Amino acid sequence: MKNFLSEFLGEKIRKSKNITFVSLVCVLFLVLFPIFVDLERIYFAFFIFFIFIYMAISVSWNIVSGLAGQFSLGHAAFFGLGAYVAAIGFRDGFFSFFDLRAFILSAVISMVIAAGVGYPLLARLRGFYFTLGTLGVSETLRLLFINGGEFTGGAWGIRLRTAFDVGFSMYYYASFFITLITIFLSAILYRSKVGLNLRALRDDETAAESIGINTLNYKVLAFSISAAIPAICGCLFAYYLRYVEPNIVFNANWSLYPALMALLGGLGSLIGAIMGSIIIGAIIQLISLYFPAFHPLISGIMLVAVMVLLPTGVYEKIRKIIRR
Amino acid sequence: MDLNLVIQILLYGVLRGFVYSIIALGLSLIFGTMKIVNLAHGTLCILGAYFAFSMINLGLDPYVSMPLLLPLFFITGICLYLGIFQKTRDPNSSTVSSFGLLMAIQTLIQIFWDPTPKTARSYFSDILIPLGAANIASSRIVLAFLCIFTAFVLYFLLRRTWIGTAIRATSEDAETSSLMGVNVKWINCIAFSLGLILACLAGVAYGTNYAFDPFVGLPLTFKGVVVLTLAGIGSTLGVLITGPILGIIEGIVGFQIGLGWIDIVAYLMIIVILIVRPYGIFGGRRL
Repeated sequence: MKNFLSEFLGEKIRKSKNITFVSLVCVLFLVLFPIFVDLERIYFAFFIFFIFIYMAISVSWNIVSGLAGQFSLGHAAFFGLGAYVAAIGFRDGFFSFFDLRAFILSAVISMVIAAGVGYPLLARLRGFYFTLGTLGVSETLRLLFINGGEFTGGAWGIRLRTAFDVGFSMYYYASFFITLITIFLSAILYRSKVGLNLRALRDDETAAESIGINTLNYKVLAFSISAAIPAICGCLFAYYLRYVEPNIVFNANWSLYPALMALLGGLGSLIGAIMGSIIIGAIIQLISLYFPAFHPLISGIMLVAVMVLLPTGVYEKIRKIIRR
Repeated sequence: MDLNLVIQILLYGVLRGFVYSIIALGLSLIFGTMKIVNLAHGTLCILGAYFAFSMINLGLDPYVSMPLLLPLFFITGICLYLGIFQKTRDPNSSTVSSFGLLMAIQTLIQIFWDPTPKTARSYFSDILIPLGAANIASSRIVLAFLCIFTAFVLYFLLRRTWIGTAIRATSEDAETSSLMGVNVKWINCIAFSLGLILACLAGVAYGTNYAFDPFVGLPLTFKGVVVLTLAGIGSTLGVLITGPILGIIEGIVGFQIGLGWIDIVAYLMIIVILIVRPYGIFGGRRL
């Protein structure tokens, strides 16, 4: 078990016992700490809930952008889709509040849409053209939902009216579970043959094609796998906020921040994405707590600073310092 | 449909489209020379419009204050290039860093001004000229002439002067041109700043005629990219035709379907164009 976990968590660190130990302690702490404190009363719980959501999206973003090398700025589209599946399903009486079927359906819908959009985009567009295309898709969806009329609730959005309250610990454990599953699945993906093929096509597409990898299929596969997680998170977010509005759930922040987190941690490394989402999540929370007006300003500046000063990421930097 | 109505839609579309042409020119200068994707371009345009708006309070007409703003944007361009874009040169990282820049500028605008829609009304905005079936504010005519004039000046600059030759050489092959004695770093810097000057021009032209708020920046960038992709990169005068085409399509969509759908046109067009015909109508290089 121990060896398995350590192989699991580090793409690059293989036999480090420290990592296994630290991650086990973290997981235990996160499972147990709601027992000792009242989650409804402390801000810290909300703080962790938020970081979990960002961490899940960031880890899944890393699959398509870090592992497969296809930069996407369109993950907000899938987040918004998930939120709207939950909201419309609840309003029209298909699902009850906090329904497991809504989570599954939103994941399936967004995987199908990601595959449908991904085939033409990934077949024709390389590099930043794909980035522009995904940004276009997510903005198009936002405007479609604003102009959707009765079905999407227009610019006013949809309110999930219910007296039913699941309590904050439910949200906490749901987000924790989603994040844990995401990390586990993506760790399996990183170590699997699919992950190897994706890495091969990232490093040299022509060479990968010449040894018999169907690059297009693999890229679309990575794109749709990475689209499922934001949709599930969006679903959870809709249930948490009980209010869905295009400019909130299709906000470019939902694709920007996960990208920023993975970039800060180190593109294409699982631990990097986790570290990055903790660092940036904490900074975002502190800024929005103390200087709400400056919040996007500082994150924008941070994004630029990361790109200019730390292009390889924090994780690489720390590893270099430890090695020295 | 009424013929007068058709003429009006066409005229308004063409005049609006010239703004997109100038944005496309700025983008093509920056992208063509350095392969930098500047997503913040449209937001920088809007920043120019806000500066012009504030100058009105000092009693300066936007078209008068525009020459004063151009050097400011030139210097900003030099700072941005040396500070940020010199280190994030490839398309991927410049996309991300310019998106960060976009967020920062957007928030700065919201802090210093407020996010309600504004118009920087010029002296020309109130003089109406009857042009066939439509009454057109003369500021839009000024805008059209300004845009056409700018495109021709840029064409002349790129084709006939040594600095234009150096910019074109750098965009073809930076390494070889540096062997031929071109200071690539400064040529890139100048090209970037020229791009920002074009952004300022487009912003003031847009601001005197249309309502703007901090959030129209990204759609404007996208419209610029659409126009640029349609024309094909490196085709300086081609954008003068494709800009109005986009303007007309937007006008028709806005009239027939609804104003809320206008921005979708650009987003859908960019996806379709990139997939179907990435070389543009007028040939040129691939964007």
